[in-house]
Amino acid sequence: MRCGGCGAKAGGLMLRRILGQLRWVEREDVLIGLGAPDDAAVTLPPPGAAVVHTVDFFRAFIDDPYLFGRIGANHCLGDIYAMGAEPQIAMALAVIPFGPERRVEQDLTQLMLGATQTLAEAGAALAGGHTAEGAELGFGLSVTGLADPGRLLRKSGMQPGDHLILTKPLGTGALFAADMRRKARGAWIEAALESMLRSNAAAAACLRRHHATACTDVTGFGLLGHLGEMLKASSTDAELDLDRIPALEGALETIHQGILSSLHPQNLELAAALTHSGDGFHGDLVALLLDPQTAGGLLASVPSPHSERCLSELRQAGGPQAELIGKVRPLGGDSPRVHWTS
Amino acid sequence: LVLVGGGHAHVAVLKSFGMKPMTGVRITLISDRPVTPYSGMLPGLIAGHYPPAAAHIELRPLCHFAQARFFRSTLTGLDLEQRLARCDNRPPVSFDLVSIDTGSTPATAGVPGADQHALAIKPVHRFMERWEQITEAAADRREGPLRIVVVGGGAGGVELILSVRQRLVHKEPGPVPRHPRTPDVEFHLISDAPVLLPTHNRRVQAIFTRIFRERAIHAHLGQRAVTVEADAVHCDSGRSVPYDALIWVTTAAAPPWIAESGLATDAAGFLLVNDCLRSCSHPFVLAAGDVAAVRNHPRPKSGVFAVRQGPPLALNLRRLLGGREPRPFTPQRQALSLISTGDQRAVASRGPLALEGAWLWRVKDWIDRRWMRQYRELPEMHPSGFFAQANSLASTHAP
Repeated sequence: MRCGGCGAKAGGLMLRRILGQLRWVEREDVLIGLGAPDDAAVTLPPPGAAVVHTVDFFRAFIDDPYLFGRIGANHCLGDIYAMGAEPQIAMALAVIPFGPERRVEQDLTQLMLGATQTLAEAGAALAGGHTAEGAELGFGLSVTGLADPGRLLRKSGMQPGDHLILTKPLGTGALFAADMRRKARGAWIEAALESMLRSNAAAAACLRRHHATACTDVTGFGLLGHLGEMLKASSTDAELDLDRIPALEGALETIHQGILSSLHPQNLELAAALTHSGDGFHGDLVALLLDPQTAGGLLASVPSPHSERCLSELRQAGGPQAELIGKVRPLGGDSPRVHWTS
Repeated sequence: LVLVGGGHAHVAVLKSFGMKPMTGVRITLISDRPVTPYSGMLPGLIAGHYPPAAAHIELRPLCHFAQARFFRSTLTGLDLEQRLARCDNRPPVSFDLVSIDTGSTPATAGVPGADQHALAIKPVHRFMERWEQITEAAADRREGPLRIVVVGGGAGGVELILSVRQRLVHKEPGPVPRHPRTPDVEFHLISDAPVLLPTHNRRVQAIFTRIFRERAIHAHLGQRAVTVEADAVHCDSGRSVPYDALIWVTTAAAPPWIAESGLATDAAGFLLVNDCLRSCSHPFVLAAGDVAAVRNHPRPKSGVFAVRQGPPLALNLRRLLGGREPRPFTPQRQALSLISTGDQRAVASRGPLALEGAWLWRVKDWIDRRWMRQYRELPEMHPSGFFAQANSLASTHAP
């Protein structure tokens, strides 16, 4: 029997070998980090800065630990950008499957090389972490970001008349469900991976420049779930233009075949609360709105006079499928609702 | 076990490990593309007889079937001391045993200007992208004939020019009229050999000489292309052939990383292997397909031989992984070639045999489709390994 508890983690020698291969950003506001490891990491935020915290963790959805590390880290950074903050440090958590030590070491090395690459691109320092053994590969980051407290992007600022902008196409949940079932074309997965690897940093900066009133990142609850959170926080309704919802190549074909991610049923319940009976959850496009996203894009409300400029800049800044998907409407009833047009 | 390249031999290896998994073995496929083209169907693909999906194998589903990991990367070299496969877009991948089946590209390096101006038949995806542009250019052409020039007079070059002509001159698949007018496209083939298809028998050569004449394809034989400019190919005889599109289908060239890694190579730089498909210098490296040169049994670079190497390669990888001695494999001396003529007819060539007919295309089509079906229609196996439990994709999310 294998030890649980504190024994069930990667050995110290192995960790030292892995750390020896990693490169991380050195930052002046990190007093104690991996460069001179101690019991805990210590940072000194600049005076007046708001400190933003988030944590995320998930099981591997692809069999390439390096890509999983890159995408996982990108996913975890999404919350920081969605708050209008810049990432400062990250702490890593990894679950490594039981196996021969050499294999465990290789997987962990590839995973961490991927994660640190993404963190370095974001200018964030890896300041510490913890590993555990488990049944399957899992990875997550707790990320700390810094923001101007007066310029935080919240879910609650939506104003009726604002335009809704989505910065990345939807469909990663369905596509990777299809990949596992051997039903996805390689080209679709390639495009989905490319989208998942794209950082939200430039999009967040662009949205802020164009006076976004509210913002969130689209992840596990699907577009509709996260939109619902924003509507609740802002006490507004929204109108979605179904013809303008951007989809990853192959996502609609996959949904049409009935292949959906396993989180989908939960998202349906969540979203059902947003619509009145008679609005009808019909069509594959609605299923796409419920599709859970890994490293999804940002959903933001932007005052209508700024939305066209904002959209064209988003597309130039590396998000070619960014789209204006609808608008915010005043609250019509007791609770927020989503209306469809097409 | 790390497999590099998704060539014809490696898809057979993946299928084999999927049908009969080997416990304790982790397989990783490194491929620069998520799909692999089947060379047998390439002429039909170019001619428009097959949609792209019919002539390509999707590698990700095949890897899942084999419980192999798929890494989309291009190999840049092997570190034989540390047993690492170096890649263009990721950290190196370590291996105990590695098998190489990355194919080859036509040799343009020795001809100044060819690299820059000529369109090589391989890699196929790049060729097909450019090919679509050429077909559009042909349709829009207003002034003078569009001149297509193919360099290479082996089976590959001959099949290619006939397929290209089929697609450009006859928009729909079907038999070619006996004396077609080809008002807007001119076809030229340049070969340094004195005859078409120099490795085939005289009767096969005569059939293709007649077909070229019927279809008004100019053959510039005994002409070695020595330099290429933006609009013309110059031959050693002094002849110049102007072109609008230049396609390169000459003998294969080896990638430089093989010799740079320190692996034994043949004179042309291909990975030299013994009868067991093991490297003559590094026994933990195996190779098959165009990238390999079997020391005792040199054969032309052709998909037929790569396909035949699949089963013995799979067997020897299994034996080596199980700690047993590999078995030598003798490839057949002559292979039956079915050379398509672009119009859904084909010529059979083997030794002194030469046959021509529409029925031979149907035989070829049947053989090719049967081969593809093995990799496109995979049986459902009991789920296990990585993907067995990985059903939930998204994390539950808290801010």
